[in-house]
Amino acid sequence: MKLTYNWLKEFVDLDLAPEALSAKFISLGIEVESLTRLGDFSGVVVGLIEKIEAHPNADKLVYCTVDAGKEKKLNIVCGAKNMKAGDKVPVAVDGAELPGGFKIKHTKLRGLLSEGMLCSSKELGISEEADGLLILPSDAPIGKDITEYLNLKDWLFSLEILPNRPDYLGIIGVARMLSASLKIPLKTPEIEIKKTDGKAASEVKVTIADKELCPRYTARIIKGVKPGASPLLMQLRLKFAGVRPINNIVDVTNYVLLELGHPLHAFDKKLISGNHIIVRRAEKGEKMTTLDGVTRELGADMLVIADEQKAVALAGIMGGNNSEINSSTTEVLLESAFFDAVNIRKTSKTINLSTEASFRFERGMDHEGMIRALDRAAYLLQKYCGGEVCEGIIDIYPEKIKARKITTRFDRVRKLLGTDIPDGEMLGISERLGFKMLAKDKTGFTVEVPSFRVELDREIDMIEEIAQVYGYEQIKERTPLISLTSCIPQTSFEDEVKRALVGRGLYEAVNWSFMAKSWFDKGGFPAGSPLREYPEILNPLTDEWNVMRTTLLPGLLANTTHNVTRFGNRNLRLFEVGKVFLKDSAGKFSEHKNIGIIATGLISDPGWAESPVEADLYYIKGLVESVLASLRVPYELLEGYEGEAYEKGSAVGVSINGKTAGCFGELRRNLLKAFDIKQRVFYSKLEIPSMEAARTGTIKFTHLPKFPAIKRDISFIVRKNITSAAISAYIESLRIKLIEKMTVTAVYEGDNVGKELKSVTFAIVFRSPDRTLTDKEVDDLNNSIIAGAAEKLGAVIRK
Amino acid sequence: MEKELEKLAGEIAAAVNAAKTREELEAARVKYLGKKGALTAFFDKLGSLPKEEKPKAGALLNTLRNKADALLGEKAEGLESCSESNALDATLPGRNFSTGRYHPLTIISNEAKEIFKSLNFQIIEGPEIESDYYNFEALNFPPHHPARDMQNSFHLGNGMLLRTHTSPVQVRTMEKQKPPLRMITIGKCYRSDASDQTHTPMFHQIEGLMVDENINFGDLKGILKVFFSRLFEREVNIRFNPSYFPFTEPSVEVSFSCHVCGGSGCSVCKKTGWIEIGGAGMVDPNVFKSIGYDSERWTGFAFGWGIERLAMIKYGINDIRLFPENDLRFLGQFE
Repeated sequence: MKLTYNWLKEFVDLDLAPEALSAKFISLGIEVESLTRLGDFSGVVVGLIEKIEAHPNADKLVYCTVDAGKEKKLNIVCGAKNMKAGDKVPVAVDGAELPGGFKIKHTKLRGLLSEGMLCSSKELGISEEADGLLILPSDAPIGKDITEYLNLKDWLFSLEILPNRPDYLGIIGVARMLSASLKIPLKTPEIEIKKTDGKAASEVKVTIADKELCPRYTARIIKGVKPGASPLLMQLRLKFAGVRPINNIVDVTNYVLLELGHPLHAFDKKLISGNHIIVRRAEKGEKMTTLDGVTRELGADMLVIADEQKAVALAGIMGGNNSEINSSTTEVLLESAFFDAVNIRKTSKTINLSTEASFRFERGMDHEGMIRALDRAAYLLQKYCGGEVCEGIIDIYPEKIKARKITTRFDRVRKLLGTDIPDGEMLGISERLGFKMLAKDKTGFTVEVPSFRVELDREIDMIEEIAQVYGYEQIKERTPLISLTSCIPQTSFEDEVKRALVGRGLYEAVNWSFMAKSWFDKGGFPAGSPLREYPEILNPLTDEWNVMRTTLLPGLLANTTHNVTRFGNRNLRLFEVGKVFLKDSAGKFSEHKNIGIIATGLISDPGWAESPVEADLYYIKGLVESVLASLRVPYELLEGYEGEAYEKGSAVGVSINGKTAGCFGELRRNLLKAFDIKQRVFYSKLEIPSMEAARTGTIKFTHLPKFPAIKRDISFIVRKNITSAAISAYIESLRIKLIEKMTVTAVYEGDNVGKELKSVTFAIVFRSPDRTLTDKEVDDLNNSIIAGAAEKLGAVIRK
Repeated sequence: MEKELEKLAGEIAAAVNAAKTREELEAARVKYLGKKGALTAFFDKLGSLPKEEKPKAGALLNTLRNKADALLGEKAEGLESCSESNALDATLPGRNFSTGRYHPLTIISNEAKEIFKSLNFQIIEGPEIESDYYNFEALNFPPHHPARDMQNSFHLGNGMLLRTHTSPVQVRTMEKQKPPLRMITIGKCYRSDASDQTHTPMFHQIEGLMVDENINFGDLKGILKVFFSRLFEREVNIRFNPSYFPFTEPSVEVSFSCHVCGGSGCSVCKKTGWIEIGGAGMVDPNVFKSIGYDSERWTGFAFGWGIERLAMIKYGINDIRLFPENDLRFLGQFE
């Protein structure tokens, strides 16, 4: 909500400077979005447009002769359209400086010299909307400085009002809080309605057909109004607040809305057929055109204000154009009503129309203060529109809304706030805030909640009220005593996973949980892919993020494109630990925590002393296996694993507890191409819950061996299709108990072994737990391995 | 012979000492210990000595030869290290250690977890796809209440949505555990707000809850002071301004005194001396009621704020959109 400093001062005797007031607002929980000094410009005066001629060189511009009180008339080129000869407007003369430091000097515009600029309210920082030149009243003195003439020595506050404080949506509500907090008097707005002959009750009848949705409806009748422009100050204040001035009658209703926070509506009474207002639900499919010119189809759960023939307003949201105030309006039916907040909100959401009125009604309005708003507006219509206010208020109020009562215990306040605030202080605060004291004793007090505080009905609400006025800065900090708990897990499995990967030189990524549905088509994933079982976002911000991710791959691939393709950082080893989301055939959602790993380019940072090694299947395999081993997760690898994202024959599955819980391999070239990646990329996915469930307990220490080991190398020259696993399986089949460990230490293919052959070297470690082995027995065992190799593997042993 | 050997020992020592290169040293070795060397010649003579003199002479010769070997070896080592160091370029960069990096959001989260673990808080996780009940209703957001507009949600259908805050984890934890209770949770949250320098539709929150007998508003201030002072490694003060969240009352907006200037005003705190961080408050009795806690006996506080915001403040990051971009030039800075 926007209001000016001077306007606020009409409601409360402030002696705080604007900056200090701003700080006060913040301490009261009213966020100040901005504080702007108004009239922050110079050299702008009142000018009279004497003559308007066409610009010879530009269709959209005109050439004006302006009397700005200078010796010489000024010739000014202008692009606005809303003025006529004889209008008075603000003129920025040579040397003027407009808000934002924009300087005005003589300039040639399309060939004609322009000796200044005619200004709109936007150019003077009065409104945010550009709506043509600011036309001044005809009695504005020519040559007078505009800041003085418009009394622009003021400051504009833009306040953010929290949803629980609808009372702050009127200046009076803000003033009331300042009054209570600063202990300064609140001033009520002027209302002096003159006695006239007319009687409201005999002019119009009001019927409430749905008292749930409209608990109270009040109206006044004002006759003899003369539509026209509203006073300049009123127009300016409306503009400051972001409301467009329309005419004096509508402006009065908006002005009072801003002052007192209660929405009002003015109907042209002559357009209300049968002089009968009926507050009813719309009929299903009933249509009406609102003031914004949009014809809307209504539903049976929406409330309308109707006459005997038609709906004339969408209750609490916007009037209808069939009863709109117009230049020939002479009689006004002024409405001040109280509508059900939830209903207004639902309707506003359904038809997607939020207005100053609906914004307030859906937060809850003041069912008593509405009368004062009605009277204030009637008074201003009398004052500024020549209106005569008919005697009496039409007040249809089927069931009086009961006042809420709250009982507050002094000790509870002190206990919860942790302060020793005295009883008397609490009573004083409650009274200053407008609570009516009903009863008090040694233990506490009972108050009646004023009607403008719609959201209060519990003791805790009173505690908050007291705390806010008492001041949160008075709350003394204390550190609570915390009893120790014996069993709290010290690390999470996820943290260990991250540590294992970072420890192996990978960078951690955090990607969006959203992805594009179209990603799967672009990446060439089959139509029935289980990855397409994504939860859809019904209200996505963009098509790029219209489903939840079912895999971590899209994010990590996007990171690869970003770093490798866009920024030429071709060496990338990234991982992410995060959730993927699925929707099953029954429509049930589930979330699963995964690890995604991507590697491309060199596997260590390049340098002069390191020989560059490119990522390959064995890099990702070694990484996955060492991470699983370090986390003590037993696993098996599945050869011949088929993954939709992988090159054929390049992928390996990871089985944990008999269930496939991961995979790794080389990503498909056509998938990479679709995302502008031109180098080989390796990817692994692992499922955290399976890993965590399978992990074995703590580290178990094995005693160090007492006797020495003997090592032998054997190089098997075998056909290329014999795998290293087949060789180790052969050795294991010999069941040699003394073999402690065997590892592949070299693989050689080339001329020395023949075209279709390769040499695979195993280092075999022999050890006995209870004695020192002799060379002879190890040689015998070694020979037994060599002996069978020819038959079982077709192997020749390289000497 | 003893005298001769003594003389020879002196010569050998002088020759070894004088050698300036390996070649000269090798020449000295050949001269005395080579096949036709001076010392070797004595060994050759050994055979012709009388039987009773042999052991003594042999011992003398061996001692001398060992001494000479040791001298030569020592000298060779000296020459070696000397010549190699002449060839080294110590200005070349050292070998690379390809170290990994945690994402800055993980670093901050871990620091926060460590602090709260040390205060004996549990660390709890909760689902990111939530029901309206846990995300709003149990947290005292009535249906059709404008407070819901503060947190625009992404809807998935079947009444489910992406959680807009980590607060549902409070409810889930209280449903399972009886007070006293201390917990934090850290995780992803989603709001359908367009991205800008300080907003992204996905972000991370840390949420805390403490429930016990006699927990008051001052305890909240105290715990927050401990947390922010430890996180920013400087004693800070806490400021509360009134705010509104349906699930706490009183509700506050929390600021801490600027960790850079200490509150005197600098560019980091925009000259205010304070850094706004997030929301907190005393748990609303309606929340306890929906859980089944007796709000007369138990009181508690809750707090929550963005992990991104913490990281931005701590590291001086100016744009929240850098976090999900995963640019190596960004990630590489958080070692």
